[in-house]
Amino acid sequence: MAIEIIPKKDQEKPSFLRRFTLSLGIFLLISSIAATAAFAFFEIKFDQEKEDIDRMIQDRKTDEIRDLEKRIRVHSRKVNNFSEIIKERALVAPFFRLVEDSLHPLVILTNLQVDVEEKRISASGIAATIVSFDQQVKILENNPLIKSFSIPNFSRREDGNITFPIVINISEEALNSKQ
Amino acid sequence: MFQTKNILVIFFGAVLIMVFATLPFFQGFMESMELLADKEEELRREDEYIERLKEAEEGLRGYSSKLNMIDKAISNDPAVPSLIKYIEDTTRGYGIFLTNLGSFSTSPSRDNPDLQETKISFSVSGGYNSFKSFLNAMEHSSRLISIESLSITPTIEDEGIRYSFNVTIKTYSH
Repeated sequence: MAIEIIPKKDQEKPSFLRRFTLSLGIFLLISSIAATAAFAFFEIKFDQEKEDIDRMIQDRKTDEIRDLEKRIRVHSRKVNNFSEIIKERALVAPFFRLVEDSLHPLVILTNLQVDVEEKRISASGIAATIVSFDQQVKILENNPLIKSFSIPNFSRREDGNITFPIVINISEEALNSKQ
Repeated sequence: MFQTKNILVIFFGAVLIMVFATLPFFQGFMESMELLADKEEELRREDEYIERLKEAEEGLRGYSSKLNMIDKAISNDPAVPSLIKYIEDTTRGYGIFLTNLGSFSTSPSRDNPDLQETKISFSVSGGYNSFKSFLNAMEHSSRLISIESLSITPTIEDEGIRYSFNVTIKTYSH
């Protein structure tokens, strides 16, 4: 057996810090390259998926669906408009009813104007006597369906009849009442 | 084995790659993921919307007669001649006489610019109750008609009281 005459120097063992730094460096290097590659791959994949979804959304909007959408929009618009008009419009029957129910037997109207939009009745009346005129005013005052009324003036004719103009604003309840 | 210099090169090289490559790619990845989630949500909403459209179409089938009624009530054009014909026919039907047909105008509705309003003024004469029935028929006609204003003037004639009525009506179109 050969015997070594000149002993070799002990190989210097790398310090823990160097080994740790080297291991960490290699680990970081590999993992950062791998992560970069993975992120780049997924980004491309996601972009592809986004494009696929865009295409799917476009494909869903067929001519048939567009037509259907248009038809439904038109129907919806018409129904909404119709419902709005029906809700807002006032019928004339309540105006006539109010006048007929509030007229004193000894009072006649010589003309009558109805402004449905303004919910206003304008008329000229003739009362047989001052008493019937006064009673007419009281009837109007006590009618809850009348929002307000005004008789700006009245005059007594030679035959004793009282002539007067009148403006009546009718309430919402009057328009909605069925009686 | 590895010199200290080489170790440091590897370490800082890794750090540099992380900072200048991995991190930007990570940010891009996160953004893409969010955008993809948004797109998926958009697709889901689109599917729901189409589903609802189809359900609405199904639902509307049950109301086709009512929709036709609404189509008639609010026509696509003012159709003034047919309206005048309707007024003539209805006055005749209720025993009152169309004495004058005034002006008509069509303009966008004040409350709803989507609608056109056509106003027509006319005069009729006849009995008070017939006139009320006539107005009632107008208001309940298949075409939506609103009475805007009216005036009544009675005159005493040999045969009795005769009423003159001035009426302004309003119809609607799209």
